[in-house]
Amino acid sequence: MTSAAPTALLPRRAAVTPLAGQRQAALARARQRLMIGMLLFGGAIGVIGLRLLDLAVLHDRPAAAAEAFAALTPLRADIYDRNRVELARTFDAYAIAVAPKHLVGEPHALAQALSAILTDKTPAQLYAELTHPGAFRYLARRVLPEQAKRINDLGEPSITLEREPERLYPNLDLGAHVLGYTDIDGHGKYGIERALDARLSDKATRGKPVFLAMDSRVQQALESELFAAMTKFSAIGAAGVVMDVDTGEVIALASLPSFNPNAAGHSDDDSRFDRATLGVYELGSTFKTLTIAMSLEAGLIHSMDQKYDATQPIHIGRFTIHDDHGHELRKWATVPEIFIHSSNIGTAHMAAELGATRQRAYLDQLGFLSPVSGELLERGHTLYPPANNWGEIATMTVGFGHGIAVTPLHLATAYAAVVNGGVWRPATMLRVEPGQAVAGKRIFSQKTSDTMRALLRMVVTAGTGRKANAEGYRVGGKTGTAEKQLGGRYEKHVNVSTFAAAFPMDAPRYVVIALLDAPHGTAETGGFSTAGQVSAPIVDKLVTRIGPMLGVQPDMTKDIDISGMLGLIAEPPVKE
Amino acid sequence: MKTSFGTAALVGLALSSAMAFYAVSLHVAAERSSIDKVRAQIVADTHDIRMLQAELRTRARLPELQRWNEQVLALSPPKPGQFLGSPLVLANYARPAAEAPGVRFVATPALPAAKRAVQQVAYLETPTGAVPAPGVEAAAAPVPVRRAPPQVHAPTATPSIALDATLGGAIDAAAAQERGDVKVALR
Repeated sequence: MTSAAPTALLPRRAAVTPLAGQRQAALARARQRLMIGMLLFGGAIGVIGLRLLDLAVLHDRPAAAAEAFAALTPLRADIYDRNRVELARTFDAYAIAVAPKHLVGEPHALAQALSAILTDKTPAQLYAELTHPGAFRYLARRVLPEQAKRINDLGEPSITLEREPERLYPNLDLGAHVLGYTDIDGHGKYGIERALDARLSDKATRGKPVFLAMDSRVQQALESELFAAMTKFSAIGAAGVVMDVDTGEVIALASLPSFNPNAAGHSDDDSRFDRATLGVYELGSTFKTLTIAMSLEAGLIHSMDQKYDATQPIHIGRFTIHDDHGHELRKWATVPEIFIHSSNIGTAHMAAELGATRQRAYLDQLGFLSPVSGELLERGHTLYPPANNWGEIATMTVGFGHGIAVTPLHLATAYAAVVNGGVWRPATMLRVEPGQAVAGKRIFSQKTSDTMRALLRMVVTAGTGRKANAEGYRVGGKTGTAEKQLGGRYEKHVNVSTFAAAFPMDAPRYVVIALLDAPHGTAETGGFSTAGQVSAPIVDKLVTRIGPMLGVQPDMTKDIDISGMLGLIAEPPVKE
Repeated sequence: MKTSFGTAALVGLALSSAMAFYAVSLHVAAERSSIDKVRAQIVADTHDIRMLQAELRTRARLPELQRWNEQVLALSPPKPGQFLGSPLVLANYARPAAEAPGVRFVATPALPAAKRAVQQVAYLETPTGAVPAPGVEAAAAPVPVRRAPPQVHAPTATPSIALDATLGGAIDAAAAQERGDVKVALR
């Protein structure tokens, strides 16, 4: 039994042992599976970790790409003329600055190395900046990217690079007073750059360029002709405007002397002064056009053969209103005679008949009593008699353009209203898409406008403005010669000579203003510096140049009919 | 053994899948990187184009062009007589003088004004029988001249400029037929 007992136990042991082995095997398998599972999880986590590392360290490109594409949007919007000619563009540039207290390199060697890159700086200048006691100094502004990269490669940790805009005006001083300029920080300081500063620099809008109404070809022609006349007649300045009569778009606006907006800081105040929008002048007889138009519109002039007393000067108060020497009519004169002879006496009678209230109201409607319209912020305040002192004398003198000082751009908008059918529209420096012109306000009737067109044409064909008669372009206009006020006194021999014109008069499309400030007569002009002698030729040459550019074709067979009015002129007009 | 193999297979499958997915991911990243490079190149090129445009505009600025004109070219604005009223006048300028005796220009002015963007002008043989000079004949010989088909009605709205109404219409049709391979067409 004893031996049997173990024998008997063996099977029992054998039965137990497999059970234990199975358990151990199962345990081992479980551990193995657990290990595999852990390895898989670990591996997966490792893969994810590696991928994250990969994305974080090596593949941070999407943001970089977006940033690179953002660089395509200029820091300041481009400015184009109406024909997409570049007038102002912004490029990436860098400001190079240094923190002298944290300078690591040797200043002499660094100054030499920097001077080789920044060629407009001497080593001594750069050394002075590098060793300056201040905490922050600019080494250079508006440095090109290539130069900035070379400076960065020097490895000096105290030198920092800051991205900043570089504004370039490719045409230099062309249209400088319209375009204006920016300061070194890229903010608009003058002209359109100043007026549209928010639009040009706003992140949401700077991607789209601004289109000006300016036609750079016309602008060039205007500046060129004004400069030639200014030089020829030794004038101290000149101004000119070309305006679309139906939209108020300023196709060209010039003021001379001019300046280079790329280096505006190097110009003087006189060059930066905009004579076309900021300067106010008594524009003399050019206002007679407005006085006659007002009288026509008010129903005071019933027909062109209506006569006014121009027999003798008007004595009123301590003033005497007389016609210019050589232009005295000394008779009762018809409206065309008064206009083409530019009679102050006749126009003064018309103005007196119109009255101060109506005259002031018309001038207000034509914008003369407010700063000039348009986007530019450089706008001069007009000078005119106060309402409580706008009596008969003021009414008469304002009637022929004295006692009121306005800008040439004021005159352009008013002349546009006179010839375009009678609708006044504000001037605009921005391009107006077809059919998008502002409605404007009606000042004169179509009939008044038609009559004024004929009168203006007659001044050029048979009056004081004959030197403006560009062949085939049917120019009409009015001269205006005003003595200039210097130190509160009128100088008899210092004039502001203006010619206000429109063309073609059979269907006016453009107004042209040409003004010379203090011109001197020459032998060719017989010593005269009147508008008919010095300013009218500018319009002749200018219209001949710009007419084809603006789509106005000269035509010798076409003209406005002035035959009826010519019959009202008793004698040939004297030459101004 | 079978279990171990199955487990190893699972591990291998998992690893190979992970590797495959990672390879795809790497490929995508590589593609993205290359696109970024292209974008960067576009940015750089756009920048360069802007720079070049500005440089060209600066060098060809209008005051500079005028200075060149004043000093070298001496071009002046056209005079009113230099403007032509119609394409027909322009075409007459192109008429070879030597061919004048036998060839002349005619036009089809019957089109309404608003539809005269295309106006046909064609050489046509005239019945004068004039014999051009030998040199001229040689030059003019390669130009084939066809007569107009006989049954063509002349336009009645407006008479032809150079010829009477009947012949004008015939010439118009002939010009239309020959247009493109034979004669002058003004557009």
